[in-house]
Amino acid sequence: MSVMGGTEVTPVKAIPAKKSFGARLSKSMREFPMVYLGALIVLLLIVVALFAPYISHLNPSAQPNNGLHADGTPVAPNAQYIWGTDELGRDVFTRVLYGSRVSLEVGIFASFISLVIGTTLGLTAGFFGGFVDTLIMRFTDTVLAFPFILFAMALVAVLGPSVTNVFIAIGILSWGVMARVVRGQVLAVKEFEYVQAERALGASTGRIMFKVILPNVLGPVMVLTTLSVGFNILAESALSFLGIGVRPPTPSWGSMISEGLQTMSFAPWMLWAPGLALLISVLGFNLLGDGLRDILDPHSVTH
Amino acid sequence: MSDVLLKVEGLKKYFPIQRGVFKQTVGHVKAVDGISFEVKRGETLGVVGESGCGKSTMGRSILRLLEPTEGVVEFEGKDVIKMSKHTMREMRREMQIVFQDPYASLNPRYSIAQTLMEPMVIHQLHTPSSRMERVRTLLERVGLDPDYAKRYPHEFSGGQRQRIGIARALAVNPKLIVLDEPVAALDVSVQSQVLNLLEDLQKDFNLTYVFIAHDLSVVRHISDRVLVLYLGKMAELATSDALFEEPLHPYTKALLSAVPVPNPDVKRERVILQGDLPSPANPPKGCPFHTRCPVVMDVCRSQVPEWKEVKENHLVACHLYN
Repeated sequence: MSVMGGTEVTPVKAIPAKKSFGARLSKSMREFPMVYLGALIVLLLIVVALFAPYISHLNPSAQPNNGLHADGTPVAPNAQYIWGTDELGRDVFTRVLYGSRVSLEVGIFASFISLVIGTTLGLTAGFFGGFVDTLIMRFTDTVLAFPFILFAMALVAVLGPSVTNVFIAIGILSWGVMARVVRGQVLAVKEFEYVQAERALGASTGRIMFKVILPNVLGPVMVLTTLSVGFNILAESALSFLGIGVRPPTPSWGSMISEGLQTMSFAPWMLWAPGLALLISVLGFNLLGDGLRDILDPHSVTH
Repeated sequence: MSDVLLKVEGLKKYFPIQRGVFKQTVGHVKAVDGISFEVKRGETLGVVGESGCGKSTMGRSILRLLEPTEGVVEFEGKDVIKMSKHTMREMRREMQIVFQDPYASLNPRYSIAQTLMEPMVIHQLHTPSSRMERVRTLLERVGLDPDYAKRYPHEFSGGQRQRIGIARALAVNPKLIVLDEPVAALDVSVQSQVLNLLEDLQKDFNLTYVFIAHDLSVVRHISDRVLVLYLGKMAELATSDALFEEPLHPYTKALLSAVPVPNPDVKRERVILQGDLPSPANPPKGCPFHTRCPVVMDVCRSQVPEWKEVKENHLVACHLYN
């Protein structure tokens, strides 16, 4: 190697043999159990949503004759209806499976909307600073101050109850936290000298914002997006619970829980099934999100 | 082609201090308060002063990484401050900067190859296929193994990262490089390697350096001329030898007396300054150094000393010589 007035220590070239994929995976799983558990649950949810018709051959809206007892009460879990039926004789298990579709769709798309809006505004505010920053942040504060459920109700009432409108409503109300987080990250990253170096090299503003700052901001963004999917699923369930979410007969865990509350005394499975499904789904996203935070930023304050 | 590559005249950079709900400007931090000098092609101008004297701010203002409040910065006769954004972009190929912190100056998400290709992509230099070749050449030129191009910054030591930073500055073939304390964060042994590299590169590429530092022995070694700053103003400017052998300004004398000499038997007059650096938001009237000057006179407290050529090519701002 060239001798440049002083010894240049050439780094060792021999690369130690890499451990097998299996060995590294199990090590990782032991170190970050939350991530893997969360990921497993999320994966399960996705599979359920995608393959619902194959997991259960029954129709979620069908009201077969043997769905109800002679006196009109729902059937308890049995061989045919493994999680029982509801007040209209529909199979609860199938409805829970199909309900995952609504939850996932709303969760993901609402998160996507709030991701796009929040990141754009946060990037712009953090990068330009000054008046632009103040303007955007005051606007963000205003949106954050809105009582979520009330406004979501109003929006869905105006737009009309459909899955699309629900996730639009949730998305445009929930971008505030993302904007703040992104802005904070941008403010931190902006001061690093590699950003100054880009300016010194003559990079355009757009280039600096999107190719340099944005990739370095992604860590917390990923965590927040994951967590927000969980939150949005819960939000959708809340709206359906209140009766302003998706229209029947589309199954939604929220509306199933609402019905289940009424029938708790004589048909508790109507409450348990969707309730547990909701609990586990949101838990899954939370575990995944928290786990990601542990991986990406072990120094953060929560523990 | 003129000998003078960079001419700075009356450079000022004030930072507004804002208080209150409506962000009233209640004062200014006068980081750079009237600096003028010339740098010849191929020369190294060392800039020294204690922390907070405005050296880094000056360096960045010259490159317009900070917009100067006032002043003229002429690069090959063209006023850089007044340039349009478009022209400035072209100009950025002529003047580059190497930063102090090797750990913050490289984008952690880019491989070294990507970092070095950034300047080429931004200015559309070389064809995409030949860029990698250029990256390898640059790495070799700074003493790094070109096979490491695909690695990421965290896989390198501080000294190696500085070399990468230098390679990045070289990628656009600049004429002037501002070095903002480039070796301050490195171990002494590594410092000498990097300094030698800088000297070799200067010879090979006919580079002009503005070398900002607070380590006087480093500055003496690498500079042709040295500018001493105090609280944003110029104190003394002379050739390196003249400054170190016959310092004129009391501040320079104090600085030099503080440089350790590796000989315990040598007895030296230590000039120990009383007090702290005054706040640049509220600089003293008259000569900024009068609050700590061991030979202060009455006139120093009220009148700003003139910047005068006291000996040949040796300029000072001090009432002792007025």
